[in-house]
Amino acid sequence: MCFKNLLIVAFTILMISCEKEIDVKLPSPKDQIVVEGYIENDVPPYVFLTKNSAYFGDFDVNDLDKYFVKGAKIIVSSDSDSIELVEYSSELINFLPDEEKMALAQFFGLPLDSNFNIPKISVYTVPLESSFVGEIGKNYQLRIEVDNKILTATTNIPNPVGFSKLWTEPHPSSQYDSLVQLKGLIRDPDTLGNFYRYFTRRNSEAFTKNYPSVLDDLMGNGKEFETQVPLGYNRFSDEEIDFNTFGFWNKKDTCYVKLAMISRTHYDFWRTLENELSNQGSPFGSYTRIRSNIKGGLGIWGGYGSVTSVYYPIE
Amino acid sequence: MKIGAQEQKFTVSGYVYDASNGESLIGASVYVTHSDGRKTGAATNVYGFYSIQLNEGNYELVYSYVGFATQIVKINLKSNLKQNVHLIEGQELSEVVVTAERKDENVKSTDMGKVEMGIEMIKSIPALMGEVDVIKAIQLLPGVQAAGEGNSGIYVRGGGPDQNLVLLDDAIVYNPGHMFGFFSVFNPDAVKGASLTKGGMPASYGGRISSVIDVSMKEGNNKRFQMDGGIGLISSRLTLQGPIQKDKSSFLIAARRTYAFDIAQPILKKTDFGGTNYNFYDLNLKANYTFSDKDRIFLSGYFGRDVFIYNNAVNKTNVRMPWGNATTTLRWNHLFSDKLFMNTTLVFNDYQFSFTARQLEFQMLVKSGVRDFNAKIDLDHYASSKHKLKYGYNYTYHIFTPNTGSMNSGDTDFKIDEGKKYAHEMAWYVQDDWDINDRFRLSTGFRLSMFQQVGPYKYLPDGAYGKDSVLYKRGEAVKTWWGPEPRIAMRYAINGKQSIKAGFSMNYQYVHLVSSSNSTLPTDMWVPSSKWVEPQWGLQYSLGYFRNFKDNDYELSAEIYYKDMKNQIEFSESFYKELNEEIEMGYVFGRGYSYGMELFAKKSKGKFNGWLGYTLSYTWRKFDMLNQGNKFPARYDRRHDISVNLVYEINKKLSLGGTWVYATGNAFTLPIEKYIVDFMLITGYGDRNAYRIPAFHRMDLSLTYVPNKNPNKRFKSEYNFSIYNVYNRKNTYFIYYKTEGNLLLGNLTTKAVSVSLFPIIPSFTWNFKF
Repeated sequence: MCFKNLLIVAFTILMISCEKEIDVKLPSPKDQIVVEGYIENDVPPYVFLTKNSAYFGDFDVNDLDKYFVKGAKIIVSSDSDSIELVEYSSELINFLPDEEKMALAQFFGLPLDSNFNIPKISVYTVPLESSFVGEIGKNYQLRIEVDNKILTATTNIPNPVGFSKLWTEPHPSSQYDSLVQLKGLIRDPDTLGNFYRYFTRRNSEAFTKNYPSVLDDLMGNGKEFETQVPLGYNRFSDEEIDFNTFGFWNKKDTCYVKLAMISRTHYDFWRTLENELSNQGSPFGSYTRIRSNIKGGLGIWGGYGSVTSVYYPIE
Repeated sequence: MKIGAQEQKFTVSGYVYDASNGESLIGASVYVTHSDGRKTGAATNVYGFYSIQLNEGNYELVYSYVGFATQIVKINLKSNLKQNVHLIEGQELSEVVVTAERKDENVKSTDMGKVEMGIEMIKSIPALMGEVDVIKAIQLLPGVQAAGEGNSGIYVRGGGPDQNLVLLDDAIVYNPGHMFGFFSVFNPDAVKGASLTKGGMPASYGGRISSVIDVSMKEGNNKRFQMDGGIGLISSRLTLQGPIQKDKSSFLIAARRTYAFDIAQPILKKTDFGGTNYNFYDLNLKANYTFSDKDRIFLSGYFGRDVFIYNNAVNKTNVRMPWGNATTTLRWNHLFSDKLFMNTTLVFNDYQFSFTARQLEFQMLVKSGVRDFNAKIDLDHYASSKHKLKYGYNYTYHIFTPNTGSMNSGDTDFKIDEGKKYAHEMAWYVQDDWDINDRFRLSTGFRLSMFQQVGPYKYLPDGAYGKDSVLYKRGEAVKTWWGPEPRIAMRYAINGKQSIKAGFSMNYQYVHLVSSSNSTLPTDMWVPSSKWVEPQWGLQYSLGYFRNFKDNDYELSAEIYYKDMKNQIEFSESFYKELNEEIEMGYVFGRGYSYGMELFAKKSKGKFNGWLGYTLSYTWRKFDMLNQGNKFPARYDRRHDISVNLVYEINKKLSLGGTWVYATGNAFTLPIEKYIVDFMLITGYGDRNAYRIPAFHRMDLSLTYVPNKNPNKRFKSEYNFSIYNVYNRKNTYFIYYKTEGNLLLGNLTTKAVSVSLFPIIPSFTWNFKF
């Protein structure tokens, strides 16, 4: 709810408050491995492996590479199949033709610099010759061996449910008549406890997410329910958010919406993570501990059962 | 006096009043000294009634009360006697002894951890922005911890802010704070006095596990018409009172309103925030009628609201947020005999919060609250000279409204409805104060409480993600609890000046305050015990040593306590609130325990008086689901807490008051690590409440000037000049982290920021009485 934010506004207006930057001596955290791995129907599994760092440590973006963990042994297995992932660094990826780099950047939601280069990162995925891809309805185990640590996790790819319909409606204010809001109809399965995550893409841009990026079916269980599909937020833009235009699409946009079914644990991870992000800096909010499904580390091993729907503008 | 044989006992009973206005005096002392030096006595109850039993004979009855001239009445007791007494306020008669304290009361009573505060004492304490405040005064007592600067939430012996029973004329006040908790709802002009019981709660009180703050409203002057008022920096007050029928009935109307933001309106108008406003007001009403010495009725009411309006022309946002309490109490005092006093009370109380927001086409309305209908009967039975009994019954019907409301954007409607919850709460109690001999007094009590959640209620067995729901019909029992609550207190008098007291109490609490934030806010919600939430219960053991010096000039006490609290509630560390999901789904349950020592020294007479309190305490929580199951300090765990409150009367017209408080900083949880997920920087936290904000300390001073002390003049006025936070200490109110920039754009920074609220603030208040 927006009460908390409002109360902050109230405070700033009402109170003769005084702020000063202070030095807080923090204990060093225990070294942890952070896993960010996904498996999606018809897509090979991929894993980012990083290290945590001290809260006040300087985060050096130009050397993002040093936060990535190299040389891990990662095995993804289902009941019937198993594969060891291999490591690719962005230096390698940057040798690819621009078109493929763009496709990858789109997929990962990464910005490209002026030379069309992906930031310095590394990713573990299947070997080039492999045809290992996620399959609907299967469970997938992840096992990582690195720095004498063993990390494990399990996820599944649920049955996908796509939008049964997408349409647009004009912006409520006639002042913005070039903008539209995108709406969709989801036919939720009968059983309660279905969780969704969605991604939006406009024309040929990268996929973006909104906050919250996940939804549950508490409101519309077993029903065909209508939902707004706001355009995701471009995290790489420095522009201030204008709430009058935020989330709206252009009339002429081709709208791509990927709707993925996810498990409860996968949902909990994003829900707690996004809750923590939105509370950050809020003096009234309490902290949120992010729920991870990784045994022996932090992060997520998440399955997506996805369908991408497209809305073409009416000429 | 006759010796041997069966002595015939007679009863002396009556009321003790303030002669100037006819207000009954609570806790006035009445006693006789026998020829062998023994004393028999009693204190008046909350309606000013007393009753003592004596053998036939001649006696000098001594009536005394704080700040009043002691009166001695000689009697020859041959039959039961009615003796009403009107005491005269001390300052007006210089030749008579004025009692500053009920004589040896702290040593003699069995009350442990109970402090009574008259309004005069409360008014002598320097106040923030000149706003005299009952709760702020209570926060200065040992064993009581303030939540922090400008917060009316109080933490008694390691208990939470919802574990205090706050009563205004027998009505529960669910949210005692105004202005996000910076001030309390009690208008000092309408208040007669307040008492705090932090340990050894008598059986007549229940429903909360930590303490009782019992505030009594004035009854209204039944001698003559009177007007009181004051003009202050942020608010003004006006109180009218007087007889409806002299000596028989009277009324009181008191009003208070803030205007600081009304004054700022012309400035705000020119900004994008035009129309933004904040104010609060209170209205207290009281009337009483005395039918005879046997029957009297009182009707009292309180209505208060905070209203916050926020307008923002830039993003076309309009928010209106009113909240507040309303209470009505009807009481009937009846004397069945000179030994049996009955009080019957009917109470209605209501706390409401609402929030309306509008932005362009988007509209949102949310409401929450709690409403009670309460009836109770209390009997004071002065059974014999050795036994004083008290028994009664209490019934409450609760209606809880968690967030309900609606949102709509254009023609899309959306309803939020977590469903109201209904409950019956009942209690029966009996209590006996037994004077075994001159040295030993034993108070035993037993309270049996019951709480029943009733329908209509829709129960989802597996939380929101359950299978089939169970529907309960209106009035159908959903869940019932019984709570046996034994209470024991005893006093052993070493001699007339020293005593040792010990106490044990067990309490149940069936309603809980849910706060997802670190401060007491109007958005906090009360929820009942239900299918999801078990009642809280607590045990407290305490032991104390009490001593008086120099004929009551100085008093000293030392108490130690241990308190165990079960079924304590916190939010899960991974809590997020889903729309339409019951908030209870986010709870985790565990144990709390607290132990400590409280030292209190007080000087109550002379030009220079005041008190000094020191508390050493440890407060822990242990929850399976929090902090990996390890114990952690409660947020308000205070190792050291010191408060000093002194008043110096410079001369007849001028007095200087000062307070100084020191407290170990609150415990809080720090972020310790960051990591990357989805190319965003994510924060990870360290052990729960493992760190401390800097210690809190502050000094306040006040100077009161009374230009004309001529008692014959009806118009009296008083100027109060006070300075809050004299040495401008920047106490940390909270610490937060500012993260700015973007990881992938390479401009990300994180800083810790300490926010402090009040710098040095001088204020001025003018009070008058007519």
